[in-house]
Amino acid sequence: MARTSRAFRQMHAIHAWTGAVTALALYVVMLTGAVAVFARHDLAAWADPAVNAETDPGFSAERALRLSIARFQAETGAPAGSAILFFPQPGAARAHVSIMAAAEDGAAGHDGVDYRLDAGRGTDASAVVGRAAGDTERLYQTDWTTPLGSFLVHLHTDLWLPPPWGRYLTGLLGLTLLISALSGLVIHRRLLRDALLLRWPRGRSARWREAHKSVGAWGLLFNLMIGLTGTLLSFAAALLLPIVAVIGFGGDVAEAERVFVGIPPAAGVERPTADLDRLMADVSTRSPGFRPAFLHVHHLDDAAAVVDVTGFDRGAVSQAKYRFDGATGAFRSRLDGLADDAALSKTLAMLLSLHFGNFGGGLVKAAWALLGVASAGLVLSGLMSWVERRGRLVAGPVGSAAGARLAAPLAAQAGKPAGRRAGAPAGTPGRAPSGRGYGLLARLAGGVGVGVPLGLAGVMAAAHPMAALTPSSAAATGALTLVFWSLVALACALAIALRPLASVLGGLLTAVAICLLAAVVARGFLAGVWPWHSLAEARWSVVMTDLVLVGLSGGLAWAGLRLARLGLARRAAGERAGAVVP
Amino acid sequence: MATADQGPTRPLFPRRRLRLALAVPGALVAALAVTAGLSLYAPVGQVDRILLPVILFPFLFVGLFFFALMAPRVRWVGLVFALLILGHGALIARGLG
Repeated sequence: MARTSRAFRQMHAIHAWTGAVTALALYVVMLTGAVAVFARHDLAAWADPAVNAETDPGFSAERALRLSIARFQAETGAPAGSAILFFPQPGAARAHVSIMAAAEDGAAGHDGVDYRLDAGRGTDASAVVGRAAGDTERLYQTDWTTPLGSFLVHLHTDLWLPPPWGRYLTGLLGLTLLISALSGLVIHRRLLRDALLLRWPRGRSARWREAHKSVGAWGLLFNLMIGLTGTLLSFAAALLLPIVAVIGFGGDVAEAERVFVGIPPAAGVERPTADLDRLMADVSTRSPGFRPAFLHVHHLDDAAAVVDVTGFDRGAVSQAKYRFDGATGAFRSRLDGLADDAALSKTLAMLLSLHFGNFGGGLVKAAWALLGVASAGLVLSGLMSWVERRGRLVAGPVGSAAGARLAAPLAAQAGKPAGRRAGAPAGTPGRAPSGRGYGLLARLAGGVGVGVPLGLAGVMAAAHPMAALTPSSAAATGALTLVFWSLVALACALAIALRPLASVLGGLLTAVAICLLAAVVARGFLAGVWPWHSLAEARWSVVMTDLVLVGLSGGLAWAGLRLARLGLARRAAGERAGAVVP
Repeated sequence: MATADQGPTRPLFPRRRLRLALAVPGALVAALAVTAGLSLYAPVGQVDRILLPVILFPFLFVGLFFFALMAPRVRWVGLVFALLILGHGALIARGLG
């Protein structure tokens, strides 16, 4: 019994400390992830009105590829080794063709150029609307969608830290999410009751705790899934796959790549690759309702060429791959996973789809976004609950001067500074944060908690002005990054410096509301596209985005003003009673 | 870590700093060693021999993390981690050599 109780207390401490140490970074990743699920298509269509909603009926995979190859060869003078075509998706007719130069040993090259195509214009020369050059990692970072989409995706995947450190950090955050979710499952023994009962107890600390438990119970499976898939996504490509491939194949990287991707080396004999439109028609015949995601041509115009068409069969959660002989166009096989029909390969492919919710359409994405916001709230409520509890143990309500005044004589009596560890025996040196330290942490958490939404709203508001001011998408993305971090830093500084905290946070929430509304207005003025224009053109994803922005703006303005008034009223009441309100 | 409520004789996490070092960097190194070594002996096909260790990595790390913090004796943790790292290190050296 004693052992069980001790293990329970240990698990509780692990849950609390893991969450407390990583909460703020995890909050940024989770909240931006909730927005980033829309980044590639819906927000791309919203952020760039030049992107047509519908793909031109004349759009041709074959012509898009040949147009891009011709440009690549004219620009670089290098032979094209392989090519990947990312198909336009419903609601945003943006396509990409990445051309990779051929490596000398016939293996896949890793340097190339990515061309952005507006598939709404068909596939003539005017369809190419942008380019980015570099290695595969650079191409992934640069501009897959729009500056707004690129900013959001990379804030979520690597916090804009240099590769591979950003990925390592988000991978570690995924592991801590797994640890928090598993330890939370063990310590919350009345999980079902917590999930079904929503209580609103008296006291700020108890309310944070109840909110944390309820949201944690409802979002447990989602958080386990996000933690696991996020860790795999971050670590797999940047660290694990290269290590395992090299060791599992005795250091022969080319052989590892060949087995993993399932593609033999180039033959070195020139032979034109089969018409891609014919292969796409073949896939549609084999799988009616197939939704293509991308097409990969290995060893372009070589006798050993292989064409993989990857996408979703109707109603499928994981992607399937249709493989063709590139030289003859003959169908070879349908693959469930990465390289063969192995169960694990299929599992991994399914896990990756699960992380982004890119199956089942808009409703699944909306559910993922809501769960992501709830999980971000879960992380923040856990931190606030921890801060309140620890701060109260040390020196009364966090950050209160009254609490600090109470703690000071007690500390003096014990002959220790006021900040010694709560409950520690007299004589233990004080190394834990003082009551003032916890107060500062609470303010910082509040600042980040409202600062990240403020940064995201500011980025939405700045997206169109930046696009108008800077022709380069890389410069626009950099400017958006600056806007985001400046607003987060400003919110933190205000939350730390000004009092009362509730009024500051209320004011910042109102600023978020203003930025969200400004985003819709800026789009209307600068792009000349107001919500009613999108409605008339039946661009539903754009209409939904505008509606969500306006709705959120109204809700946050109401909540912000109410919170600001509440803070001022509390301070006035506190001053009348002679107390200091944090 | 939270030693406060347990009294001076029995802290919740004895030898806290050592356990923390074992739980975070130690568990990471051990999980990476096992992940890398698994690709040499996992009884599955060629492609899954790459994928199985990759998918197992988060589970390995989390298991070792909890073990490092909660095991009754920290020397058991050290022993298990040393065996995992050295054993798989030797396997990897043999595989690459």
